Amino acid sequence: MIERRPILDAVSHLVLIIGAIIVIFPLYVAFIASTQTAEQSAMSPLSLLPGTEMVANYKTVLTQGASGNVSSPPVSRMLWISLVTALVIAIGKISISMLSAFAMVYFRFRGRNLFFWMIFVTLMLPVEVRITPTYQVVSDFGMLNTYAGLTVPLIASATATFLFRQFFLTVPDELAEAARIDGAGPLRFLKDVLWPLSRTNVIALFVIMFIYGWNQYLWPLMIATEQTMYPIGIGIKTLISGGDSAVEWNMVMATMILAMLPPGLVVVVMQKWFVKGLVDSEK
Amino acid sequence: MAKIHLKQVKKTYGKAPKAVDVIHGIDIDIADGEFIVMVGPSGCGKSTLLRMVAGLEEISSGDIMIGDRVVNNLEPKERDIAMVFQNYALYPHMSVYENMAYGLKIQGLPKAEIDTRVQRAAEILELGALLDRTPRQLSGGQRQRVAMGRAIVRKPAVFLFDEPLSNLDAKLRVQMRLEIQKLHASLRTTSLYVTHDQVEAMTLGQRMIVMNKGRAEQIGTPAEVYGKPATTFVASFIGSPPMNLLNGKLSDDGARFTFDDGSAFDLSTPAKIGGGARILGIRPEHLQLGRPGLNMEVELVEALGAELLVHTRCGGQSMVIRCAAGTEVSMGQQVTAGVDANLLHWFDPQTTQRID
Repeated sequence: MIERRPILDAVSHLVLIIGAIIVIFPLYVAFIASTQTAEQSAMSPLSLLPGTEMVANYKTVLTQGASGNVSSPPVSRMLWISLVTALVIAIGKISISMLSAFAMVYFRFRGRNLFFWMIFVTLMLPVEVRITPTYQVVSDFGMLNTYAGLTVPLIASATATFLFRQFFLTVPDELAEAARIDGAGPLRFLKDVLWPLSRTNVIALFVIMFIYGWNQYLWPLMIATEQTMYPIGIGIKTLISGGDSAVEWNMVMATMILAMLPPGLVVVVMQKWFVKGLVDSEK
Repeated sequence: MAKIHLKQVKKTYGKAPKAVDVIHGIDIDIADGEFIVMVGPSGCGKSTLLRMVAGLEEISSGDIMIGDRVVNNLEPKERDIAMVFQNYALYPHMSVYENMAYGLKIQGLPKAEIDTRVQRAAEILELGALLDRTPRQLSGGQRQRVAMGRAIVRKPAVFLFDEPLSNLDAKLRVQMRLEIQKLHASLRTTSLYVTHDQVEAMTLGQRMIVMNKGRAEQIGTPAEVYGKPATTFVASFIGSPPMNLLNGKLSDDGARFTFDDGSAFDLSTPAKIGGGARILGIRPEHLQLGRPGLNMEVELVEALGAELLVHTRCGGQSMVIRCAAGTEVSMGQQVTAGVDANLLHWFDPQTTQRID
């Protein structure tokens, strides 16, 4: 913007500041609560000044389990489960969908269109719709309470396949032909040319898919019947539903802050590369 | 270095009942080290034919031989060819050096050998200072040079060029044309070059193949193609402005040509080709304004600086005369133009073939 109007500047700043406060304030309250004792954090109104129990609270949560009133595994265990799940889902989705998009774009085989439409149609079937049959399959395979059970059914991704397909279609055919003349086989072409070219897409998809995997709630709720396999999403929920006993809000908040860190970190770190990729590459 | 033989090469798309023939049987022998240009309008099958030689398109029938091998069923990499594409097809994420080295790396050549070859090619193409850049930091002409470098380093038996200069601006095109000529003069690699630009065809080719609708209309040296076009298509495609083609009837003694509208003119020397319906072809540059012969009315004058293009109507048909700048003509003027009898071209209106 080249316009120089001080009032306009002030107004836009005001709007942005209000927006930032709306977003940041709950986070601040959560953090403050996580530094207080159980009694302080249960008071109403909550003190907005940091308490003294920060180190102790986080230590307890990470090592012993989130709450004295509710039996739950240590948060570190839940974080670990979530991390593995999210990583496997994100990496699995990207590899599978990249390979299937590669097959659909660069190979001519019988029923190519049929397969494409089959994949495309599943876009309309989210996990929730097919949850019962999928549960049946997973349970019959004995995959309840396993990492495989938590991740495999979520790996297939029509969206990512579709995105990769669209991207591959924009890569000029001559590039594939030049690679053929250079003597690169299909896998070599995928590795040496397509993979580096689609790095930006991969990073964007990784961010989205990691958060998708991290935020899974419904599916793990069915698959993880033992507390040792609870991902963090379910963990937080179990802390709150304390029944008769008082909820230890300081512990809940500490768990929540911890649960927010990995996806936040992924976004922050990846965004840097993501933007860099956008600026650097030219198709 | 290798000879290329095409034997009744055909290309058909689709299956039997709905099959579409795009190449109708091309025969040509290309000598070792020869530079052949395939020229024709878009859709004539010239690129398809080139891609069949490259191995990027299947051959429906016939044989393609490179050297002494029939290569019909060989993968592109086994054919000992290198190809330069119209849009360069450089790997965007690799540096110039990596682009040129990629094929050699796949072949498994030792690093030192790769380096020698790439440095040598960079030297020939004056790319030395650009080796670390990526393609998008290069201009169009530089990119095209890298694409050629990628072809050179492989030391192939055959170079294939698919309209390599079409994406360049006019000035650069002239410059790159000269570079390609120099390159061929020094490397002497058999080359097949596809273009729709007749200037490229005339200047680059030792021989040219003029293609139309999947057929080779004429195969010959540029001088032959220009001087003795085999069909009316070749006559109108090669030469700018194109040859004037006039419909009419030649008298039995060959001395008088009557246009379709009834007007006629006498030939200075009778044509010994038999009378009947004929197409008369005259190159615009062979007509001399002011000499007796054809009568015509000037419709339009285009001044191109060095020369004038005089558009006229002659025997009810349009005709272009090319004459030196400064010639005094104006619109609506009645003029005469003469031409030497040995510079006339005759074609059969039914078959469009040349009659000598």
